[in-house]
Amino acid sequence: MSGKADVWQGTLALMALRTLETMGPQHGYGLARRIEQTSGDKLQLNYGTLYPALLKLEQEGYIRSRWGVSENNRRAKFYELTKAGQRRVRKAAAEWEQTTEILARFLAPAEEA
Amino acid sequence: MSDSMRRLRALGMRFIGLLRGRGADDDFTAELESHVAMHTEDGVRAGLAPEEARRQALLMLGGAEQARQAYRERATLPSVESVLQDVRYALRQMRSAPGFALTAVLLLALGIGANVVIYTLVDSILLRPLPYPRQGRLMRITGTTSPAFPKGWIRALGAHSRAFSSIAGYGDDAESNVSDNDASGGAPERVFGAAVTVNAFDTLGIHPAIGDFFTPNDAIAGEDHSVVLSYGYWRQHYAAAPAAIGRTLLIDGVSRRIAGVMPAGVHFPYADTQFVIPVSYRRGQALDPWSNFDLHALGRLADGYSPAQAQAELRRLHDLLLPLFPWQMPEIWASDMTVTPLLEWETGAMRPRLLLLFGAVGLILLIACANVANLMLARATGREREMAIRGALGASPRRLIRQLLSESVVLGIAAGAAALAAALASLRVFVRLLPADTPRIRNVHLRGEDILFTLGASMLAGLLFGMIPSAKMASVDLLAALRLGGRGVTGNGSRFGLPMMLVVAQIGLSVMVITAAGLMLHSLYNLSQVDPGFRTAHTVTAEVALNPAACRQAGRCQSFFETLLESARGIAGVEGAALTDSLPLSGRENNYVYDAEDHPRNPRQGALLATGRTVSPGYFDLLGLRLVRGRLLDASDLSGASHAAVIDERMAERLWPNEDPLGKHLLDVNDERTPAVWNAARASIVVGVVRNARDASLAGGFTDEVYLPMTPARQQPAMYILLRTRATPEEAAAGLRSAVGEIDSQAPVTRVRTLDQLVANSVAAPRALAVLLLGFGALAVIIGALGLYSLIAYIVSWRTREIGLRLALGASRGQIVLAVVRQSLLLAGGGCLAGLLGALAVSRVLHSFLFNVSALDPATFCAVPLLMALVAVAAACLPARRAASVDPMQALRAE
Repeated sequence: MSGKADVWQGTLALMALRTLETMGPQHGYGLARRIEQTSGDKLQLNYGTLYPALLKLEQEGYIRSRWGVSENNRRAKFYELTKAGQRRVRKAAAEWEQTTEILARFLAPAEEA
Repeated sequence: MSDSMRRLRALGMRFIGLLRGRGADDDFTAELESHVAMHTEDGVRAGLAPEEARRQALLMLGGAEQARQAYRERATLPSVESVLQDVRYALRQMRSAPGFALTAVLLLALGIGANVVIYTLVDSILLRPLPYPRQGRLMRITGTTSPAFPKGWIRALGAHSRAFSSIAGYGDDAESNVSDNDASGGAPERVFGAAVTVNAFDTLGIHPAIGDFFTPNDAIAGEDHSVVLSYGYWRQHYAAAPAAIGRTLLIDGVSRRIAGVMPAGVHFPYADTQFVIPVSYRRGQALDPWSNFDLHALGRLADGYSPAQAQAELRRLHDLLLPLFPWQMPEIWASDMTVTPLLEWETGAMRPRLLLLFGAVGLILLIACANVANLMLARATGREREMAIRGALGASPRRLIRQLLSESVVLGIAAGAAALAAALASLRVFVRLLPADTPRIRNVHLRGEDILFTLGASMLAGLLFGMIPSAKMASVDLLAALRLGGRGVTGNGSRFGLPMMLVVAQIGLSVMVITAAGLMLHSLYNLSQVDPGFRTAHTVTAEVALNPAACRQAGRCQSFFETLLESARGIAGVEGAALTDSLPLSGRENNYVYDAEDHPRNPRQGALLATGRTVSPGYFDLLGLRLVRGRLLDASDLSGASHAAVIDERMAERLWPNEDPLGKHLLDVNDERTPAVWNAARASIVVGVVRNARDASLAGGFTDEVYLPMTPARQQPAMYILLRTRATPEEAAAGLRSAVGEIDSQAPVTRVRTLDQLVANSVAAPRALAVLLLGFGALAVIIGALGLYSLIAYIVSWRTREIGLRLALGASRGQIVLAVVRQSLLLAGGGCLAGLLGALAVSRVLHSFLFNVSALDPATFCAVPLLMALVAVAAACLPARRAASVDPMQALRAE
């Protein structure tokens, strides 16, 4: 056991959206590294799965992409949130908070009645 | 945008990705490269060796190719893409063998095209609903003992029936003299119209395109001067102008106000109806509702009633309502009233014919499929290696079959497209081949459903002929195919087993079609040999019509026609002229309902029925109707004083067998003051007997016929004139028109045709059937012959070495030719046998279409095998020549 968690199904998209919201436009590699950093290096991200997830978000219209130049003067594709993406992050974040809060109640040590 | 909208957007984007193809791939490859490069740079910065850093980067990516694959699956629609791949591959295959593809598409297009055309006819004529709301609830009410009802009867039925929410009546299809009252003069037109009860349109459930339909007031004689036009007449004569409403038309001398126009697409009651006028009742006349038996009944079923229940109710009502007649009616009259759906009634006669044609083209499609299956099998030989290699590389048999089937389906769809184009181009030709009086023939056009049918038929055809070769090819023995190279995989014996079976099937099916066609042809020939009983050569007929109002002046119509007859004889080239009120074999005969001397009748029984014909004395001579006994009608009978009548032999024989019919009396029931009560003063006297002549149809037997003189009492506004002339019909008509014009400029001359045309028209339906079947039979035989030819040619080319060996061993070239021809004959013989057995099995279906031909007609059943033998020899000709010209040395050296 490496002690690192795999990314849960469906959460990668939210992580990517949220990261794009805080960092602004970002290329795929930077996004992947940032997600790992944000998780405190607790997540084991298969970089290959990030791109189909980004493509799906783009097809759904939450993000858009364009070619640009990276900080190291390298050609790279940059992703950024659309208006719909910003709304989506807010909504999804609220839903997650609610879900985790509910789950936390279940998982908390039983209180004395 | 909702979530489902987002998903739809994603689907659309993926579909676009599908179309973009390579472009998106290159884009992602570049993105991946930049990803790996950045990751490697980071690794190097962290102190790794460049190679190790790159290895790590690729590892974290989970492999570049895998990443690309995962990306591509999201970028496009993988399931659709693999189908597209198959299609692209199939198209490439077609391009690589254009001859094969062209032949296959052509054969299939012929088969599918014939099906599309006939299906379109079936759909347009038999299947499409009539243009009335809930048309399935509209019923015709008919009876064999009562072809038509009086208006009072229809009104009484409608009032008492609970199974019908409404019952309406409509009269015969008849031509009238029509002129626009408001326009300046000129000869009136002859226009088809009919009288309908005022509730007819409500019964149909339709609304006028413009104006109004009839009101209850229109049912009152004297207030009934309304007319409703057909949409077509309104467009043609009034350019579809709303101002037409309120104008007046002079119809048969009666001025009528245009009340409304029927909606587009409605042809009621007949296909050629241009106007309808109301059926009206004369106030205070008790006999009026009951005296004319001239209406056909039509009803709309009330909710919850079935046609059978409605029919049972009508027959119950019959006994209750019969006493409403002001005289005693025969009980048998209308006792078998029958309820038939309107659509079925209108298309009744055409249904079996079209279905027969549909069956024939279905067989043709099967033949074409078998043919193409064989072509594919032959081609499969060349591709065994390809299949073996693909199999060896890991393609599953299922994948291979899918690939092969998609090739067939692509072929099928290409053929379908070609067939659709051909059908569109040829539909009008087929429509013209059908008899002009085919029901709903004007509605024939391709619609969406027909195109869908084509698509279905072509895909099905593709699957059908693709199944056999694919199953065979996918099961190719890998090792053997790879080891032996292009040819000689399976044993020689079984190699041609399947193709031979397919060819035998093709021949068998085409024999079935051509046998049916042969039977029809023989039947048509027999019909053409029927002696109509009257002379038809060099005779032109035309209808001359006065306004019926003219006949109200005593003797005016009679004197007009007598004058016309006189001047017609003076037209250049005319050798003789005669008049009649109905032409034989025209489908419009007048009933003569009568009582005869020595045949007393109870009023409850029905009267006797014959065809009655009012003729000028010259009629018999002009048509060559020979006198058997007594005398013909002559000028002395025209006053009516002699009460003369001439009957035919059949009638004389039936009424007074072994007795002299001369001097016997006949009494028209219209001349009976009380039904079934003899009235000697009005009776006609038989003065002569003439030979029988066909009257209703060439195929039917003789009917009883009564010929009556044109007396003042029988004068009619419209008569047919017959001219014996050597001139062309056009010349004769021109002469006739000027002769008529000199007497009355308001009398149109219409329906000019020769008597020969009239007789030919009477067999238009069987002729159309025979012509179409013969065409399809020829098509079937040609496709079958092609199939036979290609198989024989294939076998010969396959056996070139064997033939060379035989020649080298001393076989003569004649023997080789004979062997090839024998093979062809054997195959054709086998197919013929199977086909004739098949034809025997379906001969029961054909029986009802045939005239004087047994469904097991020896002539046809001998001619067809002979034809197939000829086909077999012809198909073997080229391959046999090629076989005979094989050079033994070259053949043995090859390979």
